[in-house]
Amino acid sequence: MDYLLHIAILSSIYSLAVLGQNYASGYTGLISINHGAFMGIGAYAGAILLKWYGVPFPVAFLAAGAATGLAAWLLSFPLLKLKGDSFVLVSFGFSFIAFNLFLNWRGLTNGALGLKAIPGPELVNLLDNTKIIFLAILLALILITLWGLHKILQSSYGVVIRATRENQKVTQIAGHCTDSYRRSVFVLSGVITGIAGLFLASYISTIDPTLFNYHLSVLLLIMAILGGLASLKGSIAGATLLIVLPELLRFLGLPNSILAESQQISYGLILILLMYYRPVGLFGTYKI
Amino acid sequence: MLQLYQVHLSLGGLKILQQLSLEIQEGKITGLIGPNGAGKSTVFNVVTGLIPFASGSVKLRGQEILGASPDQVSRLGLMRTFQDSVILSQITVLENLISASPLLRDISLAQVFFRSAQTRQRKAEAGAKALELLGRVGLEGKANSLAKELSYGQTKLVEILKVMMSEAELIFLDEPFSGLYPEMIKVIQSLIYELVKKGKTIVLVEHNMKLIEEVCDRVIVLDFGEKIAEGTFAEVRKNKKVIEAYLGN
Repeated sequence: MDYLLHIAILSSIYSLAVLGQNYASGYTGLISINHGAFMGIGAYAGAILLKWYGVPFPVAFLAAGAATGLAAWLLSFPLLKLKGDSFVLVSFGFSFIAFNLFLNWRGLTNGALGLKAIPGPELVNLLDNTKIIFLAILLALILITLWGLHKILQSSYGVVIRATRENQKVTQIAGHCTDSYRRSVFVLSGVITGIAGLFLASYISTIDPTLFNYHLSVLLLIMAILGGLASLKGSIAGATLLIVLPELLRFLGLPNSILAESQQISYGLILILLMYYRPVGLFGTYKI
Repeated sequence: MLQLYQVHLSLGGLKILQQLSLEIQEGKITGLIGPNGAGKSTVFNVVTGLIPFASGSVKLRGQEILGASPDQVSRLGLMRTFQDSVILSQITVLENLISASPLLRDISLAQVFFRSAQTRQRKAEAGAKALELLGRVGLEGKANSLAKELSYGQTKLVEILKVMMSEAELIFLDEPFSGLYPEMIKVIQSLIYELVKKGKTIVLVEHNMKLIEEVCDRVIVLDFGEKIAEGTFAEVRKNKKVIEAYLGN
C-alpha cells in the first residue's frame, strides 16, 4: 500500500509539472526544454524558505510559484524572439544554466550536497497518515489546476492562445499582440511547474542539482508528447504512464546495476514507438 | 485613406519595391495588378507590418504606420487576407471568426477569472455575429467543425468573413478568387460589394482581369516594384507600358 501511495504521489507531482509543460508546449506551441529547470527553481526556492527560514508551507508555496514565474518572465524576453529550432535550443541552454546555478551557488543551494530534511506541509506533519494527506493535497491542487486551465482555454483569452499556436502572423493581423499572450502562458506554465517542484522537494525531503538537470526537462516534454500535446487529460496520462511503466520493470527481476539504465532506455523506446505509430500521443491533436 | 510615399525595399541586393508612391482612395475598390513578382503582395506585407524594414513612409488616415507591428496596424482599422489561404486549421470555424473580432482584443488572464461574466459576454456577442455571418453563406452547419475540414473554397469564404468580423475600414484582399468555381466567386463578389456599401475601402490583388474590370473602381499597375500606371481599368489596359509588362495584346 505504501509503495502504491508512493507511485501515486510521484505520478501526481509529475502530472502537475506536465500540465504546466503542456499549457506552454501543447496549447501555445512553445516547445521548451527547460521545465525541469523551472521545477528546480520552485523546489529550491520553496525548500530554502522551509528549511532555513522556517516559513509556513503556504508561504513557501507562493514563493516557489513567484520565483519560477519571475524566472519564466525573464527568460521569455530572449526566448520569445526566437522560433522553431532556435527556440528549442535556447530553452535547452537555460536548463544547463539553471543546473550550474543549482550546483555552484553554494551559499544558497548547498551545491552538490543539496538540501536535506526539507519539511512538508504542516497539515501532513500533524496527521498520522502522511502519504494519504500529501496525496490528497496534491490531487486537490491538480483539480484546481485543471479547472483553471480549462476555464482559460475555453475563454476568449483561450481562443486567442490557440489561434496563436496555429499561426502567429494571422493572429497578429487580427489585432492581437501575440507576444504578450505567449509571455503570459509561459509564465503561468512556469509557475505551475515550479509548484510541482516544491511538492517534489517536500515529498522526497532531499534535493540536489542532479534531480533538475536537462534529463528532467526532456522527460517532462516526453510525458507531454506521450499524453498528447494540447490535452489536459493527456498530461496526466503521459506523466502517470512514464512513472508507472519503468516501475513495472522492477518486477522483471533485473539486477539493480542495469535497472536504472533500463528505465532510461524504456523512455527512449516509448518515444521512438510513439513517433512512428501515434505521433499525436494518446489524447493529443497536434504532432510535435 | 492610405498613402505610400517613396517606399523602398531591397532584399539581398534585389530591389523589391522601388521608391513606390501610391494612394488608396476611401470607399473605393482599388485593384493592384501586375505580373508575378511585381511586388503586389509585398506592398500588403509592408503596409500590414509583416515586413518591417522598408524605408519611406506609409500613412493610414494621416498616421505613420511604417515599422508598426501587425497588431498595431490592425487596431488602426486594417485587415487583410493572404494569397495562400491561412485558415487556423485546428480550431473551429466559429473560433476562426471570433478570433478576428475586436471584442476579443485586450482580454487579460486576470479578466478570465475576475471578470468572467464580462469576458463571457464579449465572446458570446462575437459568437452571435460570427454565426450570423456563417448563416448568410450557408456555413452555419460547419460552425463547430475544425477549420481543416473545410473545402478550399470554404476556407476562402471564411477568410472574407473574418475580414467582416474585424470591422476594419481598410481591407486588403490577396487573390480572394483564385482557384474558385464560378458560384463561389459570385458569393465572394457579393460580400465585397456589401463591404463597399458599408463604406469600407478595399484593395484587391487579382490576376483575373475580367473580375478586376468588373469589380474595381480604379487600378494601379506595378512592375518590378514600381508603379507603371494608374486609372480606371479601361484607361490602364490601353497603356503601352501595361500592355508590354503584363496584359499583352
